[in-house]
Amino acid sequence: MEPVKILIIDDNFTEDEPLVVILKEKYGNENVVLKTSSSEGLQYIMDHLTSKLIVLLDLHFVNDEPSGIDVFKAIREETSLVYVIVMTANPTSSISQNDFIEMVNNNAMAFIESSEDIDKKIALVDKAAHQLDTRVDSVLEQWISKRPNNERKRPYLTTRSGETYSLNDLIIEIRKETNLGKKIEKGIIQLAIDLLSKGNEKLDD
Amino acid sequence: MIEIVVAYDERDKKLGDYFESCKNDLIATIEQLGGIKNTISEIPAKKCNRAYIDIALKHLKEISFLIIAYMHGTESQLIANNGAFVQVGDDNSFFKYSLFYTNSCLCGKLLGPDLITHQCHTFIGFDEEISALLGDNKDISIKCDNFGITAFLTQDITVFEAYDQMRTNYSQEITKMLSLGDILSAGVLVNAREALVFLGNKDLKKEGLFNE
Repeated sequence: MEPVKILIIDDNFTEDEPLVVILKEKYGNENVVLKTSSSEGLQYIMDHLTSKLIVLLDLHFVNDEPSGIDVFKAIREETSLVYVIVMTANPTSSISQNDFIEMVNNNAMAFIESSEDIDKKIALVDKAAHQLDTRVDSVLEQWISKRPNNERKRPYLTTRSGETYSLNDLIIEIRKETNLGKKIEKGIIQLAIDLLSKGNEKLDD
Repeated sequence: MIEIVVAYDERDKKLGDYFESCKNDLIATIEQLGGIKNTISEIPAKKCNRAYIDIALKHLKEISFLIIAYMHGTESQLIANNGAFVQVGDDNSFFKYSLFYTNSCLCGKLLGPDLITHQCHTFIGFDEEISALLGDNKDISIKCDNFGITAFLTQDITVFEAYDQMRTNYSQEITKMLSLGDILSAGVLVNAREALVFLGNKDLKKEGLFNE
């Protein structure tokens, strides 16, 4: 199974920050990335959309860098499959109501104050990692991303309304949780139920 | 003799080829039927409207017949050539005594029940938006779409047994897809199987559609 990647976007962090060190010990050096620039962090996300990605995102940046909420919106324009844990130096009550509604309505996984215990932050990352391993849409996206490139570009299915989709198109449908994306997930869940109830396939292959 | 009406929207810009392929596959099957006399009335897109049916096919109005439709659907309509071919709210008594079989999306929700209230023998269709496979797997979708009506016409079984075989065929194709490692296509076929709808008389057999 592909390992989870954890991206921390926070301009106050350094590589020797205890949270960074502990996460690297737990998830592997190569799977924990720190970006102190929000624009670089966003670029990293766009370059790793097919990875199982958890983002610890600070809300406040200086020097004309995009704010955390801008980064969050940019992520959600592309995918719903990246787990975002929002970190704030101030109490969560200091987040504007509009920003808070935007993030809650678009599945920010959790909010945590920077001053909270490291154990609580690690627990949230563990929870996100577990969910990424078990989410159908995440598993499907990974299955598609492993197909050969030429296969992913070919027309794969057509809806009865006449729209044609390649596997690459379907990744986007799944990421954006469109009706088609959700329908595909539903089919896979039903398929898994069929297999489990009939027991006629080796599920551990 | 069985009167068979095959309506199809070959003019649809996006799916016209698919609908016509479905029609051609079915016609090839019907032409191989031994021992069962039949008359096929093909209704291409430009004739898919009530006026044409009411005039050209008026001899079907009081007798049993089989109608197969390959076109777009909504919950309450079948659509061909950018217009409604059959829809809830019309006088659908024309279809009384018919076996109505379609691969159109969604129409199992409202149109199917409406036809049954107009004494249509049986309706088989889909009550969800479904997808068809393309590329090397296109023929699988066509065969799955036609499996029920083909089974009904080629075997001595009831229409419900044909519907049951149709579901079983989906399951077999799903298993084949899994054996090839194609979980996504398997999922697409699962969606189609689960969207299948059967309404009306389960005991109808071919003999129930025979006319002098």
